Amino acid sequence: MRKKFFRVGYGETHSIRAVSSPATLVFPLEGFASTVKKKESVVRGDVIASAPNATYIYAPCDGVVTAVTENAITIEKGTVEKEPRVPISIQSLPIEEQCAMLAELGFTKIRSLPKLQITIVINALYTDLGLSYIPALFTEELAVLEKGIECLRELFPAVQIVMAMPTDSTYSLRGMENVYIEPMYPHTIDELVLARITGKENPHGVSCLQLLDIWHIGKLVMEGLPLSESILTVNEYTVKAMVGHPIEALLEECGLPVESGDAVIMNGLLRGYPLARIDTGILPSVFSLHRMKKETFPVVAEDPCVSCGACTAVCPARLRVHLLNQYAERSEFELCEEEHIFACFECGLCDYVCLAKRPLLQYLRYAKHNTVKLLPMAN
Amino acid sequence: MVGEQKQLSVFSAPFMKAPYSFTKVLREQFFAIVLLFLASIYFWGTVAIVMASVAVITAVVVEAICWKLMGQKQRLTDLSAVCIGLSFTLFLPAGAPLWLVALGASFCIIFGKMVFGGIAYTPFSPVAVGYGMVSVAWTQYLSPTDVILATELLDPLAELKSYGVDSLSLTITDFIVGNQLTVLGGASLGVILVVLAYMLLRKLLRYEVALGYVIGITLVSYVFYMQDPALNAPPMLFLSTGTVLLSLLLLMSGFSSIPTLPLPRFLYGLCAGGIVVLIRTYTSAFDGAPLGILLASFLVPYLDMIRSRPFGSRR
Repeated sequence: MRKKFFRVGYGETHSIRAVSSPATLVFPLEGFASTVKKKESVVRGDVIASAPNATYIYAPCDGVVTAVTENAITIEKGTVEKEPRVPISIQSLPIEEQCAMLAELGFTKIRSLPKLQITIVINALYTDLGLSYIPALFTEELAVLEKGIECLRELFPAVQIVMAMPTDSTYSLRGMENVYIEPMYPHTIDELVLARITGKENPHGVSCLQLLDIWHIGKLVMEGLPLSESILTVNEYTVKAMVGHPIEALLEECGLPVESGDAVIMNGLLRGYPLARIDTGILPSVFSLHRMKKETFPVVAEDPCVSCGACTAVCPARLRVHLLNQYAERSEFELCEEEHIFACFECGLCDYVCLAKRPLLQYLRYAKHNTVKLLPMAN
Repeated sequence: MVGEQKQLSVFSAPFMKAPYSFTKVLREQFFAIVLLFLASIYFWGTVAIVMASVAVITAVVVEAICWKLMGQKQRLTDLSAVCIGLSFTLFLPAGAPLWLVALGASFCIIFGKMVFGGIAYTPFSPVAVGYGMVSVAWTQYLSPTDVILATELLDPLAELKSYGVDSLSLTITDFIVGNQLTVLGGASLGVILVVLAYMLLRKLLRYEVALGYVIGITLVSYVFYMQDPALNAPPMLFLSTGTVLLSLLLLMSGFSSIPTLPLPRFLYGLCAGGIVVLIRTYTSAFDGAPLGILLASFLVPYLDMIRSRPFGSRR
């Protein structure tokens, strides 16, 4: 009756589905400000929008900007009279400049890796449900992955690099040390994988990268220009699509037409978020899209907590979720901090098992958001 | 932006939910109680139906009035009032006065459930509260021996209390087939064990609680039995008489009146079992089970303080 864990092994390998290249690309501007104007010509690699934390959106191809609104930038593909950007040969740069260049080309995650490291774990497990893109990376993009690893090894020569793989995996990268983990969600999410490998919770000097990050690095090294395409799961398919490919068109092409009232979920079925509009395109950070028909929506209710303890029993962070969600409901954020709300990984299991069908994950996210403001460093 | 925009549904993550709900759990709980009730009709006849009808109608009406007074939406469809009414009846001897049935059922609802704000917030089992109040005020109506006079059945609890272990002529077979004088729901140990298995299987009753309770009773009653085998019942006899197991089914199967984590649940069961034995051994009460469980509920907030260290924290 109470199924607490989900098996998220590799299963069957799906080959990457080819999708047509759209004539119009649309870039959502959530948190970004446009740096281009209407009718401006852009070439591949040009920055078209920027965010305050030095992250950028790049043009994935040559074309002309046809519309700039507060929500999106639209680019019409085509040849333009502008000098194309020269690809940067990252590996010929000095080591210290390579990191900065990777970040400049769009792999900003490199900035958050600590300077002093002992181990980098590459998490090749699915960190959410409904994903299926990893086997295709190994079979069809192996050269890119190996390039990414090669670059990472050069950047961190003294660091041990290991890869966390599910026990059903038959794939391997050249010279890579593999650690096999039973692919049971939530034990596949970064924090728990690190705890499993190091034997310590929140270990120092150990960081985690996703397999898609390695692909991203490999792609940057090989092409010397920002990413122009992205690999993602679309329902049961694995798709390689151009950055900015409008989501509605992409779903349509995969035989998943969206009707009014349906939902489109981005980045995982347990931890992702729903999209309000799908006329905009995908960004490199998107690794999955799921169309849900309105008949299949789960029931969410705002019933009182019945203190059954199912959430607390499944919580992999060992939190007392039955208390936390009630504190959040009553806006008692000091109590949330006392109950260690920041230990929550937002795995979504508590919400899945909730007997009263309460939106627990949303309560926890809400509480975290508000509890941060109480911390001394926030002031 | 492209002109026509589709209206999409948005809701919060996760986008999957387990296929069970609180309503379903209450339905299953109702089914288990109905099984016990059907058995009580078989053993005691129409009197069980009359008493149960009075209890259920009173419970439902009182709860409806309470919701009205509290100015809140009626939540009668969750069947919890019906469950409480039925469960309360199962603890009474056949032939208990109907005014007592009605009064007890309304105590269960008012003081056991509604004063705390409804089914999810009760710190004690509502039935245990109602039964506790009634048993303190009108003890004479709750002993099967005193209420049911025209019978040839023997009350094992009265026998044990008055004449000791050796004089007990009832055997375990009598308990299993229901050949004993006891409360409405407790006649047949066989039926109780079947319902117990069902409730454990459906996780209506947490196995940690049940295990703790049985171990608690066994250990403590064994100590007393070793002390004086002629006066104190051995653990097996203790477990199979009176409402010991019936109370486990009906009073310890709630959510809010038991601790939330496995170890505290086990300790709660252990304490409840121990208290039940102490009450039955040291007080004049024939059957201490509901009262023992009610007392053990006071420990729940303290037991809930036992917790595991959160991920990555040192505390």
